[in-house]
Amino acid sequence: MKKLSNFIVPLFFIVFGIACLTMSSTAFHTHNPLHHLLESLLGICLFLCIPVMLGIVYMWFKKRKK
Amino acid sequence: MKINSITTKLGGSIMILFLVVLFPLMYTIDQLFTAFYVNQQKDQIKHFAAEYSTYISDVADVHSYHMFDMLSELMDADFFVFNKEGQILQSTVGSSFEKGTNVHDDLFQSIRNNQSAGMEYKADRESFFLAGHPIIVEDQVNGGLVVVSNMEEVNRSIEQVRFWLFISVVGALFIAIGFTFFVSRKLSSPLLQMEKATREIAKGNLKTNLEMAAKDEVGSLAAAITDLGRELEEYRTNRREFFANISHELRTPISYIKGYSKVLRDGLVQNEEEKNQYLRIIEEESARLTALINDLFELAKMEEGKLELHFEWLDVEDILNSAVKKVSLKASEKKIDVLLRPSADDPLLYTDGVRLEQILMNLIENAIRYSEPESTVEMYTKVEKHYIHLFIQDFGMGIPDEDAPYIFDRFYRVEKSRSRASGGTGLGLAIVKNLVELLGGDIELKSTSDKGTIFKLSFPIDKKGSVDG
Repeated sequence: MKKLSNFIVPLFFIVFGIACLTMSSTAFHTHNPLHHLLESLLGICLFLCIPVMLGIVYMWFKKRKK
Repeated sequence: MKINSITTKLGGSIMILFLVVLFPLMYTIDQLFTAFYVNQQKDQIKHFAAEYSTYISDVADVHSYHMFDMLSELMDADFFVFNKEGQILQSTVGSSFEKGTNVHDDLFQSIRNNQSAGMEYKADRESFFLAGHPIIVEDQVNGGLVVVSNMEEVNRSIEQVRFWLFISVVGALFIAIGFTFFVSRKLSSPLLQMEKATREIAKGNLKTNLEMAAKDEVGSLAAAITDLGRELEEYRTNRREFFANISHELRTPISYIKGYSKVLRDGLVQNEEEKNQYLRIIEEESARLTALINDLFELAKMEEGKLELHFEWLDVEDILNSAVKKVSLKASEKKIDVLLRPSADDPLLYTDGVRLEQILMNLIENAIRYSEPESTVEMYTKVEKHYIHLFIQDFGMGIPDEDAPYIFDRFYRVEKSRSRASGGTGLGLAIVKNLVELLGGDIELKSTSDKGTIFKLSFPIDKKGSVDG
């Protein structure tokens, strides 16, 4: 249970953070807001993935070196 | 989650670092947007003022100003026109710049000098921006056109941007908290594991195995903690064994002494011969006890590094002869010949003669002890490059292969009953090994069951230590 909460709590923060950023980036798009919302969500997730991917690639290289 | 834990501190530090970057960035972005919007609005108004002032061909022709009413509604901005005396001739502004009043002096002076002018103005808690441009008629400044824009709309837009910027920052903060949570847990996890392991070690659970994949300093620390646990475990086992052995070794002679002295005191002896036999046993056991205590004391001194050594250049052959001489009595009791065959080119050895003799005597006595009567014990030397090797060979019962690795351990005996009967304390070889190491040498063992044993002592020699030198 504790392990699950250790995972869920930070995940909630991340999801909430992404939601805030998506709303902000769509705030001034009055025309076709749903399209912009999805576009922003995708963009934010992609930008978020860049450092995470870099980390994963680094770990993979480290493991392969071993 | 504990407040005073490494995870919280690490996470808190990362968050503080994040805020240190985020807050100034937020302020900078806010300033950037504010300046951009305000300047854009101002530039636009200045542009209007410059553009529309060219449409006025005569300042006095007030009927031509009707287009400004229309423009005012379209652009959501107000206008007023003043003549070269600074008097407002037409205005859509309202109470602040009414028709017939004079224009603000700063604005008037700039325009009169044929320069564009801009100024901020506050009225009724609202801020305005005034952009003025001279009206040129026949190359002369004939008056000026001022566009008045209410900046409240721009400020409202900025407020909106600021609000959504704040929401973005909050979002970024939440994402940072989420990732910091993972990262700080991941980074502090090995430290927490090590803390737990060291606490377990402190409690006495020494069989701790910290397996860390990382090859960095943290991994090295984990390996060091595991090694420490193993070392302590080994030390504890050795100590336990040592106490068990020592109590056993002390108890046996004391039991003999106690038992036989009681028999003598109670007068339970049949004759004088029996009495003498018991007294001899008491004497032998006392001697064994004394030897054991002496050996223990010696060993303790060696292990604590308190044994004093006196190094000097000595002839190895002399030491060998002296050792053989001293054990000759014991050898003759078992009719054992101790043969000494030193090498012809034995060098001088820089060593402690007393201790080397003690080593040799221990090994020779050991060889005599475990050799059959009327056999031989051989001693010979060999010089090899920078080493001198001393060999002590017996042709006794030998040491089984499975016992060989433990032969230098304290109180280790191959055949316990037999070794006790032969009078050993069980510490002799442990002392020998310690002494050899203190003298900078090495001891090796080669043994075959029922064929005999060879102990090989190796000591480094300096070239100066040759016979000629």
